[in-house]
Amino acid sequence: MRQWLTRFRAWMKGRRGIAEELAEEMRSNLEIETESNIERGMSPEQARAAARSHFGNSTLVAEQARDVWGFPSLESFLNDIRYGFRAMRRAPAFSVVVILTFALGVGVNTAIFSVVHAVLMKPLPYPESERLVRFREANAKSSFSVTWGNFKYWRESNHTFADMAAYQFTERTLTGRGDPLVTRGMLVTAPYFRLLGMHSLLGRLFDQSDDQPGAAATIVLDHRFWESRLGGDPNVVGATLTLNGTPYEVTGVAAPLWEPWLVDYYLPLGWAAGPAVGRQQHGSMSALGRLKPGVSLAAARADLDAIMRHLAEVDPGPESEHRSSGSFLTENITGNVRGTLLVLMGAAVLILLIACANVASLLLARNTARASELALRKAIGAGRLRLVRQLITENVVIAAVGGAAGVAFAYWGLRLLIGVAPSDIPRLAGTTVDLQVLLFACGITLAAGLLAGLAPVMVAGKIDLTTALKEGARMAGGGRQGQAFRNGLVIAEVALTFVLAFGSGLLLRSLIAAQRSNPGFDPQRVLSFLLGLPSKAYKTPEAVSAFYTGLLSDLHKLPGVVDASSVSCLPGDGDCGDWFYSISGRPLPLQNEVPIALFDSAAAGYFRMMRIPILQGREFNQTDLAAGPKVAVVNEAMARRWWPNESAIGRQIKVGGPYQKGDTLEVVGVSGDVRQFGLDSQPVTEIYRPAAQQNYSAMAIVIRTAGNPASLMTAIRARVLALDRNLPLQRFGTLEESLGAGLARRRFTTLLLTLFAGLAVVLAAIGIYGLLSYWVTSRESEIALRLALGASPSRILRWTSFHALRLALIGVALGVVGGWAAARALEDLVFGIPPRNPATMIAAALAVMTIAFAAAVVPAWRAARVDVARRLHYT
Amino acid sequence: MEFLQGTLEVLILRSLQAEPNHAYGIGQFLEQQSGNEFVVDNGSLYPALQRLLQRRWLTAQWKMSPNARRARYYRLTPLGRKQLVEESSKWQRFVVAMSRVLSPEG
Repeated sequence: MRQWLTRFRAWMKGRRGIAEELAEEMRSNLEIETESNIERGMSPEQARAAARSHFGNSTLVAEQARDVWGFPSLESFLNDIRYGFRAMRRAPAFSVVVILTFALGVGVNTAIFSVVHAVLMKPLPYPESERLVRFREANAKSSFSVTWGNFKYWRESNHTFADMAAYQFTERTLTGRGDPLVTRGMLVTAPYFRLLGMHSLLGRLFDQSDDQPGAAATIVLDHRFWESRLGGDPNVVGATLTLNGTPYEVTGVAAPLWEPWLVDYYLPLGWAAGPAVGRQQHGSMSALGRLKPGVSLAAARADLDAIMRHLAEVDPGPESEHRSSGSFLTENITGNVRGTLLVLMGAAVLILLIACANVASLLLARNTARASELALRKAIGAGRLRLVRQLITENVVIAAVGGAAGVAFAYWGLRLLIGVAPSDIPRLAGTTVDLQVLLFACGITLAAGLLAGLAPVMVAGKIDLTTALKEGARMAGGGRQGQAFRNGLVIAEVALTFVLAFGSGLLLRSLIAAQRSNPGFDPQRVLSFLLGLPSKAYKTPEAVSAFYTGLLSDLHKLPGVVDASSVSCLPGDGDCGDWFYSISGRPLPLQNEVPIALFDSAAAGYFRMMRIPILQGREFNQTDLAAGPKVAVVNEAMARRWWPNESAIGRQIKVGGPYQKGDTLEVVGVSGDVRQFGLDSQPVTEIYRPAAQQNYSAMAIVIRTAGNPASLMTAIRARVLALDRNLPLQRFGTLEESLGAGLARRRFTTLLLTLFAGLAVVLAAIGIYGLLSYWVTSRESEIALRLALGASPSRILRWTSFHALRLALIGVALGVVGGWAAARALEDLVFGIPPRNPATMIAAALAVMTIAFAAAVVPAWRAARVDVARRLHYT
Repeated sequence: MEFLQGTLEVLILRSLQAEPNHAYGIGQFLEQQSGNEFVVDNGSLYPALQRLLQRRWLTAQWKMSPNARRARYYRLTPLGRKQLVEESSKWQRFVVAMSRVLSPEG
């Protein structure tokens, strides 16, 4: 220990003093030896030479003696790092290419990883968030909302939850504070705040006493809403907000927290739900719970299922077959981006592998060029291990520089990525290059540096001294083994590039297919907006009907309007309400097998206005009155499911299925399918009812204009406000835009993957070019010999190209196998074409082959122009 | 003949038992005393001297040599002297044991 201390002190004091003293000592001993040689009768020159030769390698002696005082392994490591930098400066072009390659590989991976980390891996910012689960009701086929009645039983009778709350979204119109505003709120039971660990910024969050029937109407504001809409008013607590005509007293403002669902405010659900509500009355409620420690999701489900089974016995009804279905909140939030992000991460890893292969090949070529330097080092006493260590350190140094550049690149790229990413990826906006991401970047940099450096180092370790010193660079490392290895690298690069090209090809074709897919209606020059009539002002269905009829007839009269209509759910908006149904005259379905379809209300003339083809029968018209016979138009998917080879007209549909109350509808028409869930979705069964018979206070108004739709927006807005100046127009814009926006995530994924494929192609082209150049260089004598023996340059050209082509072909063949596997990962993202689309595969193969061939042209041409006389003369 | 691991250090201590000496002198002493059996390699000698300095078994001092040349002289410290006694007896036992094993008849 003391010895270490002495050493450390000496080391700190500086090696220079020790080194100088040593040098002086060695010099003086050399003099003494020379003198004693002279005394023995040698001439001064002889004496000096003899002393020097007896003394040995003074540099090595000095180094070894000095090392006693220092920390030799650390110092030689630092030395290697210095050599690394020196080597980098000596070959700037090479270094720049290698650094850029590393920077690209590390940068892409770091950027994507930081997103994966922020979105998928970081725990949610809630207390014991790993035990937060979301529960709904479910039957054998699908899951749906939990009813208030059932929720109350769950909350009271479960044995597996530490805490449980219910929540439900709501949209309400805020009036009395400037322009009327549609706001999005959440009805929650009081424990909701506790579950997410929410605190109040001002006032208090509501509690159990506020959250029951008969309590005063209270509201908790989200801090964003409070800041943006109420100007951060510090005296807001106790103030009143009017929503849908009802005044609410503000009890508090919630402190900022990343919430899974962005809302403007919270209302007490227990208060809103009222007293006893039947078990079968579905709204759109879900339950949020925290599992007791050690309880699995399955156990919690079994627990709730037991409660549901018990309820089915004591209170049988349409709900008897209902059980529970739950998932972890984390999955619930990130579930649908998981696939996309993992695909991108996979693609990024492929890029890194290609980058490694590239660098490996570059290093191979360079180490071969450095063979004489390495041989020299070996000759003056560097051990093989020492040499290998130095090379590895050099590689790691250059990788580290590349990695640092990569992190900078990632930092910049991430901003760009967040900019172009669709806004619906949760937690993306908060993505940063944080410590974990930096550790990841360090890790992959080190791994890439070692991986890329391994093969060249192994080859370098085997350098044969004499050959290398005598013959120079050309021969060393050009052996059969090195050659096979280099060929392997080219093949691997081609294969990886093919996989990326194929994957991005699939996504590109899917995007094109989605963009070109027929939405089922004509979206050209169609404006749309949503209206929600507050129940305070429009108390009866008649009042609602009268408003919409009046508005549509006003809009029809507007100059420039071709046609106008209304629907309860816009195409592309997905599921605004699905419900059970059954077909009269068919065998009764079991209780848990009752089919579900989307239900939509449409005004008379809706299909004509949207140009949705009517395939059978008729569409809704003015004769479909509230008091008249109940009718329906079904879509083609629905007709094909139930009446594939017969007419659907006149058939009867029971709303709610056999076990729930509901009207019986007569089918009067079959319409073409509309892609209700977006352009890249498949149509689902859909039942339309006339707005006059099933009216909703919230409707979408759709207007086809003669000219530019934007020019009519002001006039349309004025018309609406003329009827009711407290009505906000929501999502006012063209249908084409909103349909296109639905493809934002697909566009994002496709863009990134195509970008990655582009990077891969560039990297692979550089790699193939480099390796083939090297191949040609190392074969110059052979080529010269062939030329001298009568081979024509074109023959050499063919021979070289064939070599490149053969490697590319093997690469593509391997790539096809990889592509096959990759297609499975992409299955969910592919639209409109089969995932194992052979045409895309052939196109990708051709593209990669072309790139490989193009990269091979220059080296091949050079091979054909080898100067025979010069080459043979010098060999 | 190469030095066995660890022998060089005790031999250096021994060479300084009588009087201080410089590195070249130590090397000469060891070669002569071993009847030229040992070849002292400077690559081993110098590091060994540094190690002994570190352990404080030796001290070093610049002095004038008999032929009026400045040289770095090494001298045993009391600690080094103690070490020499211990090591010598250890090596002596080792040598006896070795020869017993190698030539049991003798």
